[in-house]
Amino acid sequence: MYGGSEHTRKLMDRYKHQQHRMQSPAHPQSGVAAAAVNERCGDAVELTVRLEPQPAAPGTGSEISSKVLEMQHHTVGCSICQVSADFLCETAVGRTLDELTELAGRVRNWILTPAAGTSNEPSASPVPEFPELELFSEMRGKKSRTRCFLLPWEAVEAIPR
Amino acid sequence: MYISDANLETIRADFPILQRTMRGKPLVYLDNGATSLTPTQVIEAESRYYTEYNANIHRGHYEFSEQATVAFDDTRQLIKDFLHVPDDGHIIFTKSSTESVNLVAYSWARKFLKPGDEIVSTELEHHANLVPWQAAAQATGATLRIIPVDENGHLVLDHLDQIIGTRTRLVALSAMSNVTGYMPPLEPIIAAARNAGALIFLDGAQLVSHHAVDLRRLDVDFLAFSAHKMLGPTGVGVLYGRAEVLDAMDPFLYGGDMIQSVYLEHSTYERLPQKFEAGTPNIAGVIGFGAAIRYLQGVGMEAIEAHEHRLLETMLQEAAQRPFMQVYGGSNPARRGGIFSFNINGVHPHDTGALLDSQGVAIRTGSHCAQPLMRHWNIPGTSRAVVYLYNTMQDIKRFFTAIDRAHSLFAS
Repeated sequence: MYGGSEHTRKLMDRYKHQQHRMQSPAHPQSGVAAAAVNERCGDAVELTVRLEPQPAAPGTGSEISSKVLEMQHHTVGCSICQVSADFLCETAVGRTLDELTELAGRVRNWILTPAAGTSNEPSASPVPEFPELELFSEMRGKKSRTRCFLLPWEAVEAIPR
Repeated sequence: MYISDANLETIRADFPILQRTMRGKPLVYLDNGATSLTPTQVIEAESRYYTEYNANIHRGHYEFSEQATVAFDDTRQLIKDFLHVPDDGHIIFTKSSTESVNLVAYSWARKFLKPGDEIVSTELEHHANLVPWQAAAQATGATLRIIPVDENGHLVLDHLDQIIGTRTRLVALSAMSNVTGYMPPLEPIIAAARNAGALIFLDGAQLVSHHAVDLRRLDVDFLAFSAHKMLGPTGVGVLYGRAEVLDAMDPFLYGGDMIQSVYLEHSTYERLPQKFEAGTPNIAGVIGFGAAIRYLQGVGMEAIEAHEHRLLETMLQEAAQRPFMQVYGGSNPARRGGIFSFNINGVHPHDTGALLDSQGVAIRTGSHCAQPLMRHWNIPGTSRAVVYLYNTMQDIKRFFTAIDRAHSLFAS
């Protein structure tokens, strides 16, 4: 990440100017909370999500997946973990929880798969409408950092339905 | 005794990996606490076994098997000489320090501990010298008691008599913290353990690789260490133990090479140390370890210790000039091995490690298998640089240049 590339510069810039970071854990009234912790390194991501209640789907008797109105994070972790969390909060808005879970799966597969060609070659974002993920392409398939990147996305699974 | 600049150049030339680059830069290897580099002499000794006399030990009646057996047992004798093992002491080969701890936690603790008994360990231990005792205590109904640490990660020994007492059966502690390099004063702890009639298990994974050890003057029942932290191959550990205690223990693993007679219903076991060496061991690794010990003896452990101390003093002095650095273990180089744990204010250890990696500097980051100590300091982890005989002042200079770069990148 620190090879002085354009990607590095943009990631560092975002790290220093995060858009959705809370300085302290959220008040319970701010929304529903979800957390993920990496016990091995002590990193922790806490998401606070404001959801739009959806009407019950006709004929099913159950509520369909709620849409995210706002998401913020409180992250104790490295720069990769924090920027990943900040991007997650940005891309989550306007998506339903089902859509977000599907997206998290796609992102997970992408980061865990080594990039084709030379490792430093940028590879396209797995989410076409969210090209910023390309900034992490140097880390694809590299065990030392993928866990840091994925921690916020693992918290998505813990969002109460 | 010290390592001269000329000797240092000769030493460095023996380590092929030091001729390589990492991230396009000459390698500065400071992850010696995790594993040390391997000199040509060790690589060639292992290679010679496979190319010249590859055979199993102790059982073949042919030239190469005898040659392999002699080479294997030579290492055992080398270790005995290296550590001045007393006459009643035995050297048992395992696959790691971790296995050495587990051997005792199974074969001694589970046999002899009962409810009401106590094991004493400390807050600074590597998980390998804590978790096996937790499990042994749970299995036997014994209680695990802990000697706490102060803000520097040094043991608080003021109330030792309230922790080590008549119920204590074993005291298990590290001779040198793998996080801070702190070397606890062993004398009062050993004295308290002996007064209580307790056994003493010493985790020497960091001590033995960096310091001269004389077991004639160190009154312990067990000592564990690993070859790969002292120039040897991976997959070879050692357990030193006293015959009286080892004889009373049951075998750890059962099978070939550890038996005398086998009947369908029962078996009798070999004498020490074979009783604890079931199955084909890492023969090539043990032979390579012998070459590693010869190498360390050639340089001299006192010279290595003095060399590391000089590097550590420089690191502590450099750190003192950088108010943005937090150093763990205190600033006093006395009673301390060549381990330097730190954080850069506002920079996560992962980021520090990644940035140093981009500068060709290899360090370790994280909890260092010492989560209770990290919890004591309320930090997610540290960055850790550990020096060894082949490190230079130039390495230290490049290390601090990379730290300054990490700080400026994140602070600006």
